[in-house]
Amino acid sequence: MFDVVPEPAEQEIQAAARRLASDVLAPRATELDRRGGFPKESLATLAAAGMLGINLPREQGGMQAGAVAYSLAVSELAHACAATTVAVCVNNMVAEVVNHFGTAEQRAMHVPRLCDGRHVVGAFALSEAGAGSDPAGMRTRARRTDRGWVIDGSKLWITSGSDAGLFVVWAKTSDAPGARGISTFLVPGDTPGLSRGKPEHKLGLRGSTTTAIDFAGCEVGHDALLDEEGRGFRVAMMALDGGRIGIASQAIGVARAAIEASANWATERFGAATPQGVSFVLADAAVEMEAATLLTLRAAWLKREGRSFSHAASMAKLTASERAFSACNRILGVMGADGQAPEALVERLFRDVRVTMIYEGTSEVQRIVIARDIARRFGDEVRT
Amino acid sequence: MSDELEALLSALQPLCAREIGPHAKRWDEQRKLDADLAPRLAEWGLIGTSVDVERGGAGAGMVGAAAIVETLAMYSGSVAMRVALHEAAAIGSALATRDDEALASAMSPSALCGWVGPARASQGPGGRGGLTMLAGGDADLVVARTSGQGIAMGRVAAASLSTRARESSGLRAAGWVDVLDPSALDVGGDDASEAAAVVAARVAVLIAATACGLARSAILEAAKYAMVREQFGSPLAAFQAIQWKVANAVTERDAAWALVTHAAGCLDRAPVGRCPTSAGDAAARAQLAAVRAAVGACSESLQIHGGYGYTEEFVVERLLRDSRACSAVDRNDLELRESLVPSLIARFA
Repeated sequence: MFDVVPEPAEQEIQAAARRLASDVLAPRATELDRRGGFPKESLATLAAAGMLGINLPREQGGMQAGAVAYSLAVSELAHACAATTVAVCVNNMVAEVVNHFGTAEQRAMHVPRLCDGRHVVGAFALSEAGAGSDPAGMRTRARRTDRGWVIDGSKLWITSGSDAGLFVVWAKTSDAPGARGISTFLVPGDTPGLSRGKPEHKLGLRGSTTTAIDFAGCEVGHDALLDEEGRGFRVAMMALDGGRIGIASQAIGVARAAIEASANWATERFGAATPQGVSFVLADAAVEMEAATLLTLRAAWLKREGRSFSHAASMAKLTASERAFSACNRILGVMGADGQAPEALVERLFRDVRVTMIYEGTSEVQRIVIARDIARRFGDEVRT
Repeated sequence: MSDELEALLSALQPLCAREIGPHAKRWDEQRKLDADLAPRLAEWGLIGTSVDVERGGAGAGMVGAAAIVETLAMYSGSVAMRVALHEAAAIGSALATRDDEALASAMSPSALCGWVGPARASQGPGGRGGLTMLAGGDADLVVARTSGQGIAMGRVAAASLSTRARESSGLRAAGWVDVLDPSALDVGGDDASEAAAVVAARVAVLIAATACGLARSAILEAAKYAMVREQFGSPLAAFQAIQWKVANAVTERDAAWALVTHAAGCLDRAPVGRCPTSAGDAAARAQLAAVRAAVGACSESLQIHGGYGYTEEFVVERLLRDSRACSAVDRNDLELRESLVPSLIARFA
């Protein structure tokens, strides 16, 4: 049975993340949003505390704390700074992908470096200009040579693209139609032929660099291939399933920060006589985010127990991201000009949380995943 | 709609495409409008559209002013909002108080007026004191309507105020400042006066018009993008989920626009200097609906654009920021709803 109460070890990691959020991330978050850039120092501190490898085996340098602890920790970190947290999420996802699909040599080479920050962070290079929600439109190609592979193409929207030390890269290795013929490669950031674009100017998450990554005759060895040739789509989908728990957790943390900030504002402005027009907005947001939290913990619990969690992760991400944005939006509506002030935090949270409905699968993609699961289950019932 | 207004509106889109649209991103980044914009807007006939022809206006009433502001907002939310506040407050207060000298001055402005609304009288988070004014450093006249805070509607010279620039994520080019000495705005008078009510209603209607323009722009951007962006082998526009997003956004925007024109018509039919409760309520409903529709349309448009929409390369990112900031200019959602309560009680009691 799904148990909503985290185990003591999971609570300890949550508490550690809360301290790091309060001591390291929160004091820097507003300035990071104002000036942009990459939070290298903060990430190094988080790496030293184990936050870059929460769900990775101890022998690979991780905390081996499981998906529930990961979800709880991510929410705590995002409560203080969503921009730094997305780099943490992607790094954990990359490390899990390498650990799950990699050879013993690939695991030994990269997972400890991803966990302890020697790679700075990992990056996930799947999207392209013409291939966002639909990886079948991928144009990046990898050509086999005597010495390994040569990759040519361009990737877009690469989180931490400016500083990542390791890229997981998807490329077509055959002309097979659709998503078939896609393979996955591990490409160190200093590989000749790999170049990083300038960070995009974005609505939010301005303290997270999002760049294009170009591959021009980028040569890697045979040992760069992750999993079997032509199985890249499966690798990407499995990675994204786990990633969606992270993004849902991120949205939950941001929404909680918005609720707390607006509750403080309401107390300051109205004292004990907060009007229902405000208090009910906060109440609705709290209820919706509680439900989103439970959905997310359920998905994390299914993952921790080794059970199928794809549809649960999609439900969690869809609910958490859309409800979190809605909460921030409604809160800004009642705060008026007070909410627009940077010191009120909520306008940054509104901008930051909006992207959780887009990256690692848009809300529409989540609905596709959920609808397919419903159709499959409904079909099963008819057959039985 | 009169022939004159139709002619003005048909000429307005190409004018905005030439004179406003190309500069909107730069103004947003610089957090200010060009200094010579106000005289040029007057030259183009965009100031005083609600004023009678005999007094130098376009004679288009508030319906016409709303239509013009809505079109301006398609190209720059900040320009639209400043024009909206000038038309609603600087001109509206002069009309309501029958101050011909002030009206003449407002009709030929060297700068658009600054605006301090009632919601801005609160102490901000973190103990920040003072009022928030929309205008930046370029206004020479400030209209304040800080009802319930002991400060009545008043018109003061901007130079007499001590101000500090203020950061805001939306409507950035409109310029936001903190007024450090609110008592300088205390010009006496009755903060529950009819003139204050007229200005409040005009402000709400034209904020709503701005929001409707932002929504229309977002919907057009979404539709254009959905026609050319292909995923899963088809244009996005071929997917029912995308079609419904656009259909819903258009429906909500058009419903809001109907509320705007209705409220504007109520104001146009009211006696000079008077604001019947029904007109004030209609204006509040229009603003509530329009801002909600605008934020919804902009958010859906951003969603249709996917990752591209989250970047500053695409205008929809700015549209979302600007639409959300519409609630920060005057009354927020809470205050608008509260303003509707007395007449509801009277009707149903």
